[in-house]
Amino acid sequence: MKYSWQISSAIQAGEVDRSRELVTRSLREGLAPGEILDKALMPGMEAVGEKFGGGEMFLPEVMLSASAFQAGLEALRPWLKADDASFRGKIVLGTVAGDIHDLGKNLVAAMFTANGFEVIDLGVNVPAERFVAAVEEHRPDLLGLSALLTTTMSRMPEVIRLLQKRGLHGDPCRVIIGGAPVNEEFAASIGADLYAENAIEAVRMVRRLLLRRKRGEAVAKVGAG
Amino acid sequence: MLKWGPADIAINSDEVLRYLGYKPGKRISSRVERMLEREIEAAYRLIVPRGYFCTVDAPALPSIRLFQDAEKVAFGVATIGSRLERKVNALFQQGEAARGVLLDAVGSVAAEAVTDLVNREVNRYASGLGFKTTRRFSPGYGPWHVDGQHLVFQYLGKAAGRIGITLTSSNLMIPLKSVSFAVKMGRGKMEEINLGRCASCSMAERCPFRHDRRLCTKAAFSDSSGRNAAVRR
Ligand code: B1M
Repeated sequence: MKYSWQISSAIQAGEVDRSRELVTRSLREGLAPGEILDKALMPGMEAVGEKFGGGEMFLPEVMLSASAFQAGLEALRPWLKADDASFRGKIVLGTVAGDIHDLGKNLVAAMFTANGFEVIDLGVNVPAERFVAAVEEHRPDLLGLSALLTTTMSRMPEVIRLLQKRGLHGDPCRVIIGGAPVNEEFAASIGADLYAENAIEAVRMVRRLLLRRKRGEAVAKVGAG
Repeated sequence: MLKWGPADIAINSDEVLRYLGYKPGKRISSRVERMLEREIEAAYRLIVPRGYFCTVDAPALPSIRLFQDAEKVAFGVATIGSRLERKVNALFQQGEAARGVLLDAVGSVAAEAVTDLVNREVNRYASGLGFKTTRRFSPGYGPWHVDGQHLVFQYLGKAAGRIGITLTSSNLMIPLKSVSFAVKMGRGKMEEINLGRCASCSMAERCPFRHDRRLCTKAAFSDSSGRNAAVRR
């Protein structure tokens, strides 16, 4: 696709204006919005994820890239059909009760926002009851919990328990957790669905989950039809 | 109370880059370099360095193995105040995440630098009494559980509040950019607490700071003068 390489490299270089301009130009030249998304914007951000994972890019650059991706996506958004936006989803996010650490959570929020998700950020020191109330109100695809210390990560299970008690856990609302002291084992032990080591990984995992779910639903519909 | 002006705090940009995961010696883009310079400058207008320490006779402490070979123990705290973290938050709200990440890391380095200064005062006090000192070690790092915060704050008493630090029931200090620590003092040989390095850390396997084989906290590898051995590469 024309411009795909340029758009992708503008994203990798964190060039916000250039990314927006190139997407606008591609649209003007009649390229399909879905294609621009799948063949230019997404590969750009995928490359950023890989470079970050491989230690070639670091958080400041990643956040610049996220802004460039977001700028491109905003230019594209009015032209996207519901079906194009396969990555789209909604996440309710916050740092658990007793914890006021917001950097990790803010980075995760910024990454999801940049990737086209609707993010409902509840802030820090969020009691279990408020998480669950927000899930009830917003009906998100994901509930995200963050914690900085071992003492505060111990507040995560009560959120999940309350969610389960109200019958809100499971599709559509899955739980993703993260933060310095958290790991995969802990996530599994408290019944969280996903654990992500960093903000990029979080978006990648959630996107995969939503795609799987979408495919699953499509299959189910075909089967039912 | 120990008070310093912002200019007394040395914010080492290499140290900030290390916090952000950059490998030592690797070149960064001139754009990030410029952004970082700006945030370091901004930080000097935002930090309010404060510290305090007290000393306790080791036998008076509850029988914690950590202190058994000390004659006295110094408990200290240091902070840069909360203005910087409020600014970081504001940057995120404005969609300036890259700047937010940079300023936050600058704040962490500044907090460690203030801790170095408090540590230096502890060492000076100790040597006045003819005592040797260990490296500093903190509740929550290595073998000392984060619950140890209770003990530290019990001895710091109201003084912590006077420099603007409060401990929450979940052992978190407000402002976030604060550090608490202990230093063992004595005439005999004392065991260093943080020598286990990354090996004793629960994050060892997946810590983003581990690639250069240095600890995320300076405490464990600062020498007894309170200076950071690692930055003297
Ligand atoms: C919803 O889905 C998701 C998915 C992914 C999610 C997610 C949610 N939430 C987060 N993620 C993930 O994505 C984010 C972005 O990629 C990441 O978010 P993070 O928030 O983890 O990462 C930030 C972007 C950058 N990372 C950070 O800001 C933390 C880095 C490390 C090195 C760290 C730093 C910098 C600091 N600290 Co300290 N500190 C450590 C950290 C060790 C480490 N290796 O992580 C940790 C967290 N600290 C620790 C400790 C003990 C402490 N620290 C303290 C102080 C400090 C500094 C001031 C020096 C400094 C700044 C602290 C701050 N909060 O601003 C003290 C506490 C401060 C307080 N206010 O109470 C003190 C208690 C020490 C003391 N006694 O003074 C340890 C906690 C261990 C425990 N038992 O809980 C620690 C793990 C270090 C260690 N090796 O043991 C991921 O975790």
